[in-house]
Formats: sequence, C-alpha cells, structure tokens
Amino acid sequence: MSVSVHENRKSRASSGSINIYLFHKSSYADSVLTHLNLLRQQRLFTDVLLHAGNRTFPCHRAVLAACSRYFEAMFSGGLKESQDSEVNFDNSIHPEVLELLLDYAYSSRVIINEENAESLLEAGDMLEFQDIRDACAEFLEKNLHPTNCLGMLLLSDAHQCTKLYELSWRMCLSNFQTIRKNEDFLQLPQDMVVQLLSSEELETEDERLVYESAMNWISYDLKKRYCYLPELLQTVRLALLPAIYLMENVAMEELITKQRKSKEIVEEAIRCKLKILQNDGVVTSLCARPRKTGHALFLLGGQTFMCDKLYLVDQKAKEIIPKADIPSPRKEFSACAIGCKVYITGGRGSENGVSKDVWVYDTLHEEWSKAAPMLVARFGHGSAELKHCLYVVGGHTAATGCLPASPSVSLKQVEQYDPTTNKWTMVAPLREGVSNAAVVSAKLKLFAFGGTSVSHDKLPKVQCYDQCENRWTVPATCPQPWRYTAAAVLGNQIFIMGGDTEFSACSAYKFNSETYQWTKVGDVTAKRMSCHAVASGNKLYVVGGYFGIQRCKTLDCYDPTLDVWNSITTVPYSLIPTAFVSTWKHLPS
Amino acid sequence: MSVSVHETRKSRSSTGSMNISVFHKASHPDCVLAHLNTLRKHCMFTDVTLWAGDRAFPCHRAVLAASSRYFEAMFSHGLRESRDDTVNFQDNLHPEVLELLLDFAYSSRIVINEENAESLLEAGDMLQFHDVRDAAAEFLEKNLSPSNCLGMMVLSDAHQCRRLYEFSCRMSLVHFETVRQSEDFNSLSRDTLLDLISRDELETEDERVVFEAILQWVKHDLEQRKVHLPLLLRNVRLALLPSDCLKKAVSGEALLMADECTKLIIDEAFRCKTKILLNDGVVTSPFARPRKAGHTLLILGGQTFMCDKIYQVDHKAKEIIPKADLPSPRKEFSASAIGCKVYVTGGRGSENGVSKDVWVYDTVHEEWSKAAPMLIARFGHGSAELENCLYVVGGHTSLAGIFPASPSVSLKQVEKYDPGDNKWTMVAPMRDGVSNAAVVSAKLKLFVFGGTSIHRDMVSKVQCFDPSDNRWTIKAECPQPWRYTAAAVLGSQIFIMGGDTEYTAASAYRFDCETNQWTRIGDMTAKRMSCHAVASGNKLYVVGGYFGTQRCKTLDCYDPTSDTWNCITSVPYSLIPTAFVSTWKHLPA
Repeated sequence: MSVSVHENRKSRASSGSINIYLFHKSSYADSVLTHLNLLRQQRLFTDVLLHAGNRTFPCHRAVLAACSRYFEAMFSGGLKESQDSEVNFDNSIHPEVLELLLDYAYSSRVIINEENAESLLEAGDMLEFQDIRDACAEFLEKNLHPTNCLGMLLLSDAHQCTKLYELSWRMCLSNFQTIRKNEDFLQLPQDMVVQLLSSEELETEDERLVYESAMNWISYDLKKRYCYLPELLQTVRLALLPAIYLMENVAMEELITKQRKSKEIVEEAIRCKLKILQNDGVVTSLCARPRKTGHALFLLGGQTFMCDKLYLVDQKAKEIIPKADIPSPRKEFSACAIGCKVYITGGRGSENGVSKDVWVYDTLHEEWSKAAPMLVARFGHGSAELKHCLYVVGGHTAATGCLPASPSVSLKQVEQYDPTTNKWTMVAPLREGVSNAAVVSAKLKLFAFGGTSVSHDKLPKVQCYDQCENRWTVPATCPQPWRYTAAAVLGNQIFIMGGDTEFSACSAYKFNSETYQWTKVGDVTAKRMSCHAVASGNKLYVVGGYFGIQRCKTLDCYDPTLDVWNSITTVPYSLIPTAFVSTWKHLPS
Repeated sequence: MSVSVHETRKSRSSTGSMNISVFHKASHPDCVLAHLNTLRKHCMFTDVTLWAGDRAFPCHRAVLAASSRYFEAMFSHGLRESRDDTVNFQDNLHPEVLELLLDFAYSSRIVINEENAESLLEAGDMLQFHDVRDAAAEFLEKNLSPSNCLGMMVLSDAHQCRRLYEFSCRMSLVHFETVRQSEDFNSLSRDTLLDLISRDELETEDERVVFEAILQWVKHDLEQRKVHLPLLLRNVRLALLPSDCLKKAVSGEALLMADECTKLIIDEAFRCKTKILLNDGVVTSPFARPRKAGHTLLILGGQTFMCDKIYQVDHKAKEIIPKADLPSPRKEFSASAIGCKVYVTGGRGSENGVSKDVWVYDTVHEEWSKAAPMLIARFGHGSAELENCLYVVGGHTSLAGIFPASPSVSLKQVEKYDPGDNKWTMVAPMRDGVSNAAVVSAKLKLFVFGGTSIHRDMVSKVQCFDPSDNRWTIKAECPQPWRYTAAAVLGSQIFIMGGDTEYTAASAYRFDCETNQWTRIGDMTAKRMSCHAVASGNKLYVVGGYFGTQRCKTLDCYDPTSDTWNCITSVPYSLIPTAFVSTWKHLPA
C-alpha cells in the first residue's frame, strides 16, 4: 500500500457521508502488559538493572517510569541515575520485596501475606507504588490486634496511611494495659507518648499504670528524655492516684524532686487531692479529671415509678448494686452529674406536689446534702451540665410556682445553677416550651430534642442554647416527632434513641452537633419508651423504659465503631430505673 | 527498611496462622499504557524512531514488540533493524496510517472511518496489528455496497479477512451485472474471476452477460490474459447462450477461433446446444447447467385438489401464468424436475385408482410425453432427483400392485428411474415405511423427513439414502413428529417448513446434512399443511397448503441471510397448488 493509494482513498471517501467507528479493545492493555512481562523474563529490550541485596532485576525504564513517579523522576531528571544503566538499592530494600513490586508492575497482581505486608508497604511508599502501599495498609487493617497495633501505629505514621493510623490509634487506646508492656512503647517518639497518655479515651481504671508507663519511658533513655518529664507528668491524672501512692511514691520520686517544674506539678496535684478529700468545693483541675473509663454509672429507681434508691453499675462483675437511699422519694424528676456529684431536681413527691427541691449525692463521700431550691417547681423537665453549671430545661409546673404559667402546660423557662455560689439564675427561655424532652450538652451548647409542646403535640424540633449569646435557636428538625426519648453524647455526636414516636420505639439516631446532620444507626435491641442513656468510654449505655405493658429488663451497650448493641446485664426484678447518670470515678483514698 | 528488618518480620510472622490476600488492580494495565503513551509523546525513554513519508515517530522498542509480532521479530534475532535506532517505511506506509496504529498500540483505541479503513486493514495486516485489521474489516463489512464490493473482495483476499471476503463475494455475485461494469472488474486476478463465474449463485438470467464479461476482462490485457481464455470459457454456461449468439461466436469473434483449445470448447458447446434443440436425450453437460437465478418455477395444481394444469411463476411481473394442461389429471401424485423436464409420478386418477403412470413435461419444447411406468403404483409418495436419476420413495399402494403389500399401509419400497435408458429399478428399501413425507436430495444423498408410519402415526426420523452404499440409515431425529411438510435445499442446508405437527404449522427449521444439526429459523407468515417448497437462487419459495378451512393464498419467499419471509404474489383464486418444482431455464432458441 503506497502513500498515493491512501490519498486516493481519502479523496474518494470524502464524497460520501461521514461514517466513524471508534474501536476499543478493552483487553488490549492487559495483553500488552503480559507481553512486556514476557520480554522482561527473556531480558529483551531491557535497559536498566535494579540491584537489591545480591540479586539483579533487568527491567524496562519506560515501564518502570510508567508505573512509579519515583522511577520516572530518577530516570528523567539530571540525576546520576538517569544516565546509569544500573540502580543499586543495596540493603535498603529486600530483594524478595523488590521482586514482588516488579511482578506487580508487570502483571497488576501481587500476593500480600503476613510475612511481606509491612515490608511491601514501606517499599511501596518509598518507590511510590501507592496502590501497593494502600493495599498493604488494607491487609494490615484486617489483621490488626492488640499485640501489633503499636507497631502498626508507627508504621502508618511514617508512611501516611491515614486509615490504618486511625484504627491502630484506637486499638492502642483500648488496649493500653497490653501495649504499655510492649518494647515498642519505650521507643515511641515524645509527642506520640504525650498524645497517647493525655487522651480522654485511654482505657485504664488505675491511673498508677499511666504514671508508671510515663516514668518507664523517661528512664529508658534518661539522658535525652529527662527534660520531657514535666510534660509527661501533666498527662497523668495525678489527683486520681491513691493518696498514699501520691504522697509516698510520686512526691518522693527522686527524678521529680530534683526537677523544680516537675516538683511544682506534683505539689499542685497534692493540693488538689487534699481539696477532694476535704470536700472543699468543686475540684475542676485537669489533674483530677477522670478518663472516660474512669466514669461510674449510677441508676436511680425504685420498686415503682417512685424513685427511692441509688444503684451503682459494676461493669466488671456485670452487676447492679444498691448504694444509697434517696432522702425524699419522688417521680418525674431529672438527674444530672457534675464531677463526682449527682444533682436531683424537682419532680413530684408522694402527695403529687411539684417540688423545687435539689438534692445532691456525693459519690466520693457517699453522703446526701441539699442545694438551693429551683426558682420554678418542675416535673417532666430535662437537665444537663454545661461548663460546670447545671441547666434545667422546660417541664411542667403547678399554679403555686413563683412565676406565672398555665397549669400543666409545658414550660419555656430555663434556669442555671452554679455550684460554687449555690445560686439559681434564669437564662433565656426556650423558643417553644417542651416537657419530656431529651436534653444534653455537647461542644459548649445545650440541645433539647423533641418533647411535648404547649399544645400537647409531639415536637419535631431540635432546640439549641448558646451560653455565650444566651439565646436559643432551632438549627434542625428531628427525623420524626419525639418525646420520652433518651440521649447521650460521644464527642460531637449526640445519640438519641427510643421514646414515643410514630416510628419504632427501638430506633436510634446520631446527630452531629457541629453540622446538624442526622444519621440512622442500628436499632436498640428492645422497644423503649421513657428510657435513659449515658455515654462512658467510647460506648453508650441505655436502661429502663417500657413498651405497652412490657418493662425492658436489660442494660444494653452500643459500640459506635461496630454499630451494634449488646446486653451487659439484667436489671433486678424489683428495680424500675427512672434516671441514669455518669460521674467521675475516684479510687479509694 | 533494611534487609534485616524484613528477615525479622518473616520469622515473626511464621509463628502465626497463614493469612494471604491477592491484590489485583484491574485498571493497572490501562494506567501503565496511558503513562507509556504520555512518555512517548514527551519522547522520554524512546529508543527507536519509525519513519513514514517525511514524518518521524519516536517509540519504545519494548512496547512495539509487546504490541506486534512484526516488531518483535524485527527488533530481535540479530536482524539489522534490531540494532538500528531508526526504521524507515518510506512510501510503503502513509504517516497518517502509522500514526493511527501507534495511537492504538499505546491506547487500545483507534478511530476508523471511510477514509482510513482500507489503509488500516492493509497496514494492520502488514505490521501484524491483527486486532486493527479485524476491526477495519468489520467496519468495511458494515459499509459494503454494490459499488465497492468488488474492491473489498480483492482487498480481503490479499489480507486473509475471510468473513469480509465471503460477504463481498456474495454481494458481487448478487450484483454481478453492476460489478462487471466497474473499473475494479478489469483489475481482478484470474483466480478471483474464476471463483465468481464458476458459482451457481451468480445472479443473472442472461448468460451473455457472463460471456461478454470474460471477453472484456481478457481484452483488457490481451497479451497477458489470452492464455486464460480456455479455462474461463469452461466456466461459462455456453449452451445457455441463444443459438445466434453461439453462431456469431463461431464466425465473428476472431479471438475465439485463434486458439485450438478455445475452438474445441466452442464446438463442444455448440453440439450440446444442438442436442437440446433436437431434444435428443438428457443433456447433463456443465455447459447446460443453469445458474440458480436461471431456474424456472412451475406450480402444478387445479381448481380442486385434482391437478390438471401447469403454471409458471413470472418473477419479474410477479404473476402466475397457465402454461399447459395435464394429459391425465390426478391427485396425491409427486413431481420432480430433472434438467428442464418435469416428471409427474403416480397418484390417483378420477376414479381413485392408484396409478403407475409417469408423465414428462419438456419445458423447452412445451410438450408432454410418457415415460416407463413405475414398478409399484403409488400415491402420497415423495420423489427427488439425484445424480440425474429420479427416485420415488414410500407412499401408499393398493392390492393391484405387482409386489405384495398391505392395503393402504405405508410403503418401504424405493425405486429409481434412469432417463438415459428409460427404466425403473428397485433399490434398498427404507428402514421405516412412510407416506406423506418430505423428500429431498442434498450432497449426493436422499433425505426423508417424518411422514406417516405403517401404524398411521407421525414419524420423527430423518432417513438417509446413500446410493454408493445402496443403504438407508437414520441420521437424526426431527425436532418434532412430522408429516405433510415441505422441504427444499440450499447448499448443505435443508429447510423444512409447515406440515401436520404438534407445534405450530408455521414453524420452519434448517437441517445441516453434513453435521446433522437442527436450527430453528423464522416462522412462515401463515400456517401451512400440505404446502410445497423449492429453492432458487439463494432463496426459498413456498406455496399452497391449508390450515383448518383456510387456504393459503400467497407465494412467499424466504431469504436465509436476513432470516425473513416476504410475500411475492398471490395465488389465483381458482388455483389449488399440489406440486412445486424448479427446472433449468433456457432462453428462447
């Protein structure tokens, strides 16, 4: 076929209609790559030798450059290697690993196993085979466990594997007692140790373990690490240590006594500890703030809906243990925790009178006291802690209340209690008065979900209070009209479940308090109206409630990472829970 | 990551359970190919330059070798080009075409249009890009037309595109009268021309068209081509030329008389023609064999089921014209054609007596004569021509027959008539006696489909007679039990349609007599029991039949290439077809 013949065909064809056919052979690229691999195996047209260890791999520059930016840059720049016909990795890459990478480059397939996954991830990142690096990270994610999670944390941090890093980090927090004994722990960089030990989510009930881990890390390389001691000491919740341990072991530690700043930190912690022991006001110092697993869960309830007793949930033994009687039994009250104290507000007593009373139970000293009464007598209201103050929201009142209100109509009034001054103050009222709403605080704001409105309907609104502006807004609508629901907070996520709704009473949702977005989560295991929920550690706990004539008999736990509910224990037959709170936990002094 | 670290990981992992993941990135080959294309466009890592015309194309040897065996061989095995860094196609390849091929090699995609398809086919074949060659062939198949089919035939023959060759050859045959006038015709090779003119399927009713075409071809390059004249003439159906045309050839065409071989051929053809004109025995010379388009379709029928007239189908005018009366009207007879004669055998006359008579109608001389009577009087039998002899198969007889047989029971007997000596001979009987069966000959064998058995059931067997063995075998089962069906033959394919069957009487099937395989084809436009079919040209024709009380009023045509049925014409109201034959056609002498 000559050039002139083709020109004739062009001129002839042009007189006809335009007829075009795009031919694409989807298997063509696979075929070319397979052929290139055969050429490589036969050492045909290869123009570069890669050396690793004592092995040599002949390759095609163009193919390597097409697969990896590392090689493209190496061969195309003014670098020495761009001219050389050999590249030597010496001992920085194992020949078995390089072989796997090259097999992948020429076949698009690679076998990843426990022996090679970490090395492949490193080499894949180094040579910019990002697909390999990501595939190995995924493999390691599926094979993550407490004995290797610390190593994976270091590996993923070094190679920008975000998801593997997140999963490893979470597993390290959950398995602190295991990883602290790991040799890798002692080799962690300083910033990572600080981040780990200071985390709220670090799962330990014995703060002594955290102190000892910090001291071990310092001692491992005392010469270089001694200067970091003050920073590490601040990660330990020193005021939560047993008093004797704090006085004798920590205060007397030679490494601490010889360093002025560390000594000051310990002395501050001792003063804080004494304040706790003497019950002298509210202790809000960071060194006394328990980690999430240091929370104690308390149920309030009784044999009827009249609440007369306080119970402790023993998570280890999976038991519910009576702790104290309530001085003044009541129903339709609200309960909230600040620090290690439980505040019980309002409700109705044995003669159905609406109460202004506020009782306070000190979980540390196991004793009751009375706080200043509320400004408005309430029942069916909600309450939450915000910046160490107690807020009481909505509910019903009676004609005898101090402020004017219609009998049995949902209140708009919101009042604030400051424990340090033992005083109540009115703050901005709700946009819409509600009772039987779910009230929580998250990210320095109060949220009220649903409830019963002044016209006795179920309200489908989310109402939000900003303390800085002293103002309520309505930033979102609930997925459905709601009342008698339960809510609890994990980070910026508010979980709402159960309740009286047009949909199933076992449905549960997640609300992002920053984006105001709703997400459905897994259903509660039973239908629960008037149930109660708290968050502790990285989990949610729900108890109580009923549906029809059936009482819900279990205490259930929800794990957000798995989106599953499990039963923790059975509620005693004689107990009807009417409130559920989480307080700071302290070890016996 | 060092070698020792990897070794440590291997030994550590081995203690655990074996856990393997095969990572496969399906898009990796496409990514690599796209990157290679980018490298090519930037002239990076290129190690060979292809030249075509005045354009240069830098490429990667490895990629070209992986894409094409032509380049793999060129660059390997010590050839000169294996060391040169340039390859020059000069004017053998148009640069636009080479560019398209290289784009395909590096992207798996190519745009094919009317301007480039032929050149791509040629270059794709030359450089062994067979996918491109095949894709271009497919494009050309879809754009085949009478004005280009001859050129495509030449092109596809040169480049082993078998399917395009078949399609273009078929189109050239169907449109011979058009293609012989094209410029390409004179450029055909001798073998290609022979292939065309030797085929029965060449569609012309006037053999002078073929005769003049080959003279034209020879004269186009007289010195080189006159040596081929004898062979070409042997493939023209010279005896079908009008007598005056033959005489003119003898006296007027100097070219034909100049060569002794050619003269002999003309003389032989003339003697054959004379024999036909004098009606001196059966003429079976290839010179007298009509092309399929030269067949005459004849319908036998009458105003009732008693047949008393022969009609001719005029294709051009789409009419059915009476031609002659039958000397002895009859029903339940059978009719077959040998050459230009129609043989009417057996049946029952006006007094229901079963007949042995054989009447012969000569379509050239338009006259009846009587042949020797059959050995057995029959009705409801089948007949077919095989190797210029007439075979009569099965049917019913009566006690008056020469051979013993039960009254009205289906016959096994088969007898053969040789027109050469005007004698009947018994041949091997069928395995199962049948009547009302479809009987045809194909590939030198007789085939009998279904029929009524001696138990009066419908038969579902295909029985086959091989005259060289004088033996019947059962080749296959019919798709369903059958009788009163029609059958016709195209090449090795036997088409069977209609009839009395458990399924629809409109169904039609194709049987491959070489592989014994059945295939369902498109249904007829009407249900037809006792219909009749013939093949002519590349098409099937069916006429007659009834369903319930409804007569089928049309003559329909089936085109196997499009698997569709169409109506040709209506059968006159006064005509009930009872037989349908196809004879050789001769022009008026």
